[in-house]
Amino acid sequence: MRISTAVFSIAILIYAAVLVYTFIISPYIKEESIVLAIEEEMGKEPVHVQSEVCKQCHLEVFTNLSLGNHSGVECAACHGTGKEHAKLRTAGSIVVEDTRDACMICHKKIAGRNIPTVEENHGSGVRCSYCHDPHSANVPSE
Amino acid sequence: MHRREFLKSVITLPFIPGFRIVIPSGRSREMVETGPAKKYAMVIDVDKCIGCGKCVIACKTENHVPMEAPVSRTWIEGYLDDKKLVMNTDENPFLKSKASKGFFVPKLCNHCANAPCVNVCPVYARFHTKEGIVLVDKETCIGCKYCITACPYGATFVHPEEKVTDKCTFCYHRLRKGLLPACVVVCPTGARKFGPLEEGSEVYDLIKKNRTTVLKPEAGTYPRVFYINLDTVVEL
Repeated sequence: MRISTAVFSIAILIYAAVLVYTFIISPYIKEESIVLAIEEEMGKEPVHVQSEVCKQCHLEVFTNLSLGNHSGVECAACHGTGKEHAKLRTAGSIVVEDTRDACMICHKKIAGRNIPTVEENHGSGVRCSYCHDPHSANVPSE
Repeated sequence: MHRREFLKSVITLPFIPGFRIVIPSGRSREMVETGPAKKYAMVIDVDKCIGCGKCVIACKTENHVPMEAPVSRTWIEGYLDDKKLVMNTDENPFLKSKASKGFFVPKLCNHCANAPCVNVCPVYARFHTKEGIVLVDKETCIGCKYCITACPYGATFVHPEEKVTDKCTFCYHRLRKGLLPACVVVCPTGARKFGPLEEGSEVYDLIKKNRTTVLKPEAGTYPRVFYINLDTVVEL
């Protein structure tokens, strides 16, 4: 009988502790959890760099780009995140894809595209950049 | 009162419905940071979207959602002939299509002013910030998936690694640093526009000068993502 009373009082103590935590000291009741969540969200590092940063070094390329048909396209669209490249400033830290597939992501002829598109057999076997410069994207003369 | 009766009532008290209301908690499902603030919105021009999928890849990289998992904070639905294809990984299914008619609809969390996911969350893990953006408190979220059932747009999913629910935040970490969301930055045709809903802003002008619609207006959610030139059939 004595043991069961002891067990009972310990149970009461645990119960009281849980109650006190849940309703008095938990971050939920002190409205801290939302503030913490906002702080955590704000603490994340952006990885995609906007072209304002790019043109501080690559002004010539940027000027060419803004004169051609690709004027509205941000650098990050083709060159990827750029956070590493802004720190390291080496050629290997940025995506440079000079392949047919990289251009075909946007310029392949499929239904619903109202930008200049090409068929699969257009200039077959030749890199697109042989005739077209993506940084001054105007249609080349023959 | 008898001792046993008293103990019984103390123990059962928190389980009586309505007991929680008595506890003085100022916690509400509405804005935490009060005060006037700009409300942000996104406008998507469906005619301009070419289905390149750069926004999906950028979003997954920016927000650390595993690339190969078939869930994403933003995704593109391609309606090609009578087929509906969805791009939510880095694999683009539209490029193989031979359809003669088609259009692409980028989708993301609508950041509803009357958000069902905020309303149903049993642990109050979802809330509106002062900018009107719906965020998830990942420490509080228990992963019960009520929000996934409640969302009429299917914008919420379980993060494959964190095992709690995750959704678009309008890139809140970028927004607070004065940057645009990652999907808006990488969009090569400018189909996505983002900005504050105030007089004179780009987004405000677009909504004012074009015929816009929202997805599922009958759900009464008051979304903050607006669509231009949207075929009504897509809203299904």
